[in-house]
Amino acid sequence: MQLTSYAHSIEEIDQLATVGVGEIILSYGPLSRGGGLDLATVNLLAQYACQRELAVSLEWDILVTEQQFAESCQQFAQLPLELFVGIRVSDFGVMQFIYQQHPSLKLIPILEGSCHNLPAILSVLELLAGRVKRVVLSIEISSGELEQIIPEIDLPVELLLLGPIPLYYSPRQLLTPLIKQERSCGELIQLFATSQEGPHHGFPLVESDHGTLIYNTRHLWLLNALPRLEQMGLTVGRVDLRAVKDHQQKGGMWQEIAALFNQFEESKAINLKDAYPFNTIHGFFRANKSDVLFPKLKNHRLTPIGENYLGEVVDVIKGELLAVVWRRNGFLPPLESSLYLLTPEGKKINFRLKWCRDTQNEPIETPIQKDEIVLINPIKRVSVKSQLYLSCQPGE
Amino acid sequence: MSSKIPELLAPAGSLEKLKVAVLYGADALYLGGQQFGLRTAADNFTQRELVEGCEFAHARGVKVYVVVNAFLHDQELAELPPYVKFLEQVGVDALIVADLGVLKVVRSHSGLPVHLSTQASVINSYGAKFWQRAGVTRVILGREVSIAHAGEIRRATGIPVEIFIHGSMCSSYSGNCVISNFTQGRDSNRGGCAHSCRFEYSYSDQDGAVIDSSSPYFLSSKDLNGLSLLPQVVEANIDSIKIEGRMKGHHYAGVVTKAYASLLAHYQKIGQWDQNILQQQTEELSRVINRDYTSGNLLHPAQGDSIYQQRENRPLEYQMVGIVHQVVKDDFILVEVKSAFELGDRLELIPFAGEAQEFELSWIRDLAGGQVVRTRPSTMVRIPYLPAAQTFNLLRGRCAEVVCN
Ligand code: SF4
Repeated sequence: MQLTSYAHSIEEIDQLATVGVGEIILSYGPLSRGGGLDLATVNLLAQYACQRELAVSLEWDILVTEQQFAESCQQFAQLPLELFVGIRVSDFGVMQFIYQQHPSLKLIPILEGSCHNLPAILSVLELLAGRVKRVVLSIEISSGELEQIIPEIDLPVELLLLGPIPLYYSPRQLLTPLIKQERSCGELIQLFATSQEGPHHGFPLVESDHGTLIYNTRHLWLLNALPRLEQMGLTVGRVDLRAVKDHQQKGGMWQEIAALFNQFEESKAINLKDAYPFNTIHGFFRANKSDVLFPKLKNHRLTPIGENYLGEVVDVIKGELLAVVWRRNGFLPPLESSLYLLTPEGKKINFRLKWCRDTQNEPIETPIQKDEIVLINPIKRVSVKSQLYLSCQPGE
Repeated sequence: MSSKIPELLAPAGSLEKLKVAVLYGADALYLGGQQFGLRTAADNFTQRELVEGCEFAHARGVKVYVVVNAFLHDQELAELPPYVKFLEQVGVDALIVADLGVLKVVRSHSGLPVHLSTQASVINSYGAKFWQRAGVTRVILGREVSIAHAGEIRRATGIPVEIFIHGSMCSSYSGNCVISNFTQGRDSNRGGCAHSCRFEYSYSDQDGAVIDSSSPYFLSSKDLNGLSLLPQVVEANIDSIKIEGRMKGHHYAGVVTKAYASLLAHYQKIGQWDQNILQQQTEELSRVINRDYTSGNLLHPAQGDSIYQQRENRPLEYQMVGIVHQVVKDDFILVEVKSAFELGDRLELIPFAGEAQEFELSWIRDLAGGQVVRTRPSTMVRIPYLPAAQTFNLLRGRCAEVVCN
């Protein structure tokens, strides 16, 4: 498995080249969400990396509004495009632009946010036919799913293995009003936010020229799963150490990470995790059950089912009547029919229909139309929202 | 310049709200089934309700779009084909999707038109082209696109475009917030958003020093309101304008739909924008649930002043108290009580067209004929007949008079 990461200086490129990283990522400020390098530095680093025989990819991961599009394209055109082995892109519009307007460039679609299933990923590859260098998969795809997905993709596949987890991306500049100071172009505002209402404290916040980003309080850590990922066929592991500010510490970590990529040793992975300066999580790697809570929130007893459904209780006047909004069109159950009510608590109450009147208190003799309010004999322990059913069809 | 009137697309959070929105003037409705949408806490439609909702809407010339806009994982995708086939059988007019995998399934199992959800965050012409190539027939643009640029995207691609015109907004790019996923284990892109952007926050800097800020709600967007911008919408040749709010109540569904419908209808008839209707309906919009209004990005990119600096919604001046279920001429109106009101209260009936009508409750009776002094929610009562009343009209009272929640 290849290792890829971000480089921001000659020294970092040297560090990465020394440990055997095959490809570096350059972030150009005007095109990169979290800010990045200026044009001269991108030029310099791209050339230097090439001299050191490192492949270079460029990150263009901002989402681009129609208004900004022409300007972004101009910024892009100034770059040494011939030096990049691929352009890392999140916005499908930008992918389409490069596909259409730059036929010699390869794309690295970042599908981290929106493609969590194989047909979606394959659709992207189809739509960008022949132009994709590799594809970046979402960290919300569990290992079980990755096992199914990766072998079906005919191209190299990349996954974030270590680094900050982006949680939120807004085009609005939301931190400037907090510090009550103007931010100059290219500058970043970095703060932390804590809410008593949420379970986690100290979210890293960044405001750049492109808006506001929020990161998770814990970083993703999947280096312990390297052998399994390798077995699945993962081709590129991305490690993002941009949050590690200490240059020396970073250098040491690169060596250890590269060693793990070359030959995995569990104990070394554990040591590295212990030394990593941020708390970590596995995210959804083991399982993604982030949708299981919702079906439980609904009361399925209130869902009318089947042909025998008649309507819903909308009023209960104790000892006097039940009011039912009728849902079955053109049907009047004969008096003495066996009916039952299913209460919101799940109780089933059988009873016989003794009388049936309209809202003017007249006995109903013709079939009841849908949505009519019907008054029937009172039943004990029944509440509003109970569902009325016929016990069996007339004649059965 | 064409002056096509855009389709007014309203939310239908339940069958009853669907009927309310249709009768208050929607041209089309969007709703969710019990799976694959983003509003899992909304009532959503059972299959039976979907059939009934389509019948009701189609009988009145109103279209129905079903939302299947979650980003699905493979296992869920496998469950999708029978649902898609059912939706086609029912006769829904289009599906709203955000996921290329879902799009693939829909296209291979039905001939239904597909609208691209705003969740896909298409905000430029090239993005619209990408999805057009993928097979969508309409693009619901990201809320970051201005009206003018939406018009440009339409011109550049020829694909029909829809924009959000009213309602709550994520402050993030749609589909680009997974705070709930990683903090609460609830996938915001599969309907589990925990609304962390509405929380109160405190801040510190890189050194841990507390930032003294008077803005504890830095992520909470104000609500979008584009009523006064309808002339620009028509000018830009936008195909459809959407009201957010499947989770919101009947009052919101009825009043907001009516506000936009009445202004558009007058323009369609007379060819001019009526300032009186605009003013009247602007006031009406201030009476429904909101977090203060902003024009969002409809004219210019939204910035700091688009943030709502409170935890709760704005206190309401009006409360919806009931919905008319039956009108018996010269006798009574049968009302389902949604919020308590009392004998002697002054209420307003909101007709499907025209101004709200105030009246005083001279008597209230329950269904057994007993006199009622104070009503209870989830009961039915009879009140005096009003000639203007029609089934599914909404009744409301001023909060000073009725009990506001
Ligand atoms: S937390 Fe807020 S910004 Fe995030 S998805 Fe939910 S509503 Fe949108």
